[in-house]
Amino acid sequence: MKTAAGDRARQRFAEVVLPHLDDAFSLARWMTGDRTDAEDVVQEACLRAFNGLAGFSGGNGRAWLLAIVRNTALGWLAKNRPKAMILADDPEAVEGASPLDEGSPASPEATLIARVESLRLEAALAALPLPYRETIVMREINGASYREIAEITAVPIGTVMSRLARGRALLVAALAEPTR
Amino acid sequence: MTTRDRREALLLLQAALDGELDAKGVLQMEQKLAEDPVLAAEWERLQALHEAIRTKITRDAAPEHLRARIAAIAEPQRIRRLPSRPTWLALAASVVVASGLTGTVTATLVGRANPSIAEALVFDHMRALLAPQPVDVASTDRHEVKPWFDARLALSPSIADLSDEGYSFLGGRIDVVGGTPVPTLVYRLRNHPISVTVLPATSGAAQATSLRGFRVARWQDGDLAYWAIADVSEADLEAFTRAYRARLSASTTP
Repeated sequence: MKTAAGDRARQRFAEVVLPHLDDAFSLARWMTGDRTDAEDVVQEACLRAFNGLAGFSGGNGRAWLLAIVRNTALGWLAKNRPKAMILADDPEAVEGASPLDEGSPASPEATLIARVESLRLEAALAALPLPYRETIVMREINGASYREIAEITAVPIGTVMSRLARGRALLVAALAEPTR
Repeated sequence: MTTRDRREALLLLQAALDGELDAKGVLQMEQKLAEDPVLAAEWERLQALHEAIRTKITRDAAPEHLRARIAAIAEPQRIRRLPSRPTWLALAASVVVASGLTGTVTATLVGRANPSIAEALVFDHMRALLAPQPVDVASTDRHEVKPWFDARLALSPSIADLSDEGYSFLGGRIDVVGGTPVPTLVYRLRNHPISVTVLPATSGAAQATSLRGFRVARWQDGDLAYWAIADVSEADLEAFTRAYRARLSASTTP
């Protein structure tokens, strides 16, 4: 494809996809749970992105790419770990106990949380159900805004916020569990 | 605080934590925190968690060899190397490249972040056709295939036996629609595979259409929607649909 069109495609790819590879990789890694599997997912997603560049009409390139990465990772999970997707969305945790309820189990003090070890925190994040985990990863690790996350996951901003609230509450609760 | 107030306050805490509030919102939040020690304690915990995540969770960078492979995607054909492992991902990659789909044709199927159900299923069907076999579990015995789905999916459909109507059963696979894994049964008419995917129904519209040269039929029975995809004639797919529905309603055991 050594043509002007090929050059343009290569340039567009370099502008839209390459700058976001780290974000793509970390999202895939937290969704699949494994860095090697994440490499496969990212490669497949970038191939799709390259071939789909004509369908990208500008706007947020990172959100566009991460949506493709996410969908590719979901496809990978469906084939390899379908059970990990079964709890795709519990009823927006409306019924769940809020950390602000009177009488809810004691949450660990802030200082305890601050002293948590890396491995324990990473294990707690890895153990979160997928919708909460992916939202927290996009927010905290990819640094995506609420609007971007809503675009990537195709849900309303309110859902993004309640998933963050629920995911963070679950993490805090997990850190309160006594270590083995 | 009412439960609803608490829920709203908690959501606002997230927004404050994530820098999504304007100055007025931050001010309001600070006032609330000053008035409510329970809220303030939760705010402390959230900040501690946020900081812990920031400092203690490793930030992964894409490894160099991955960067090199990705950069190669945009390179001219002759030096592009595709993964040689026969994973489904490699096959999907080769579908997209080897079939010569580029530009706008692929864009509607592949580049779109959220394809429609029909588009997603046609793409899955196409990919299955280019794989060594169009199924994840290959068996002509539906009594082997159903337990395979039972073990993997919440929705495990009844499987119709249509062999006396001329449709052989090849097995099943798992496709993805809208981020959810869904069951697909594969039959064959002459040498044309027919994919039948079962989904929870959201709307009642029956459909018969065609996409990328494949015929697509959708029908609903109860709270399940059935999608059949095949490159056969409209009449053939209609006949299949009729036979399928008749057999399912007649059978009493899955």
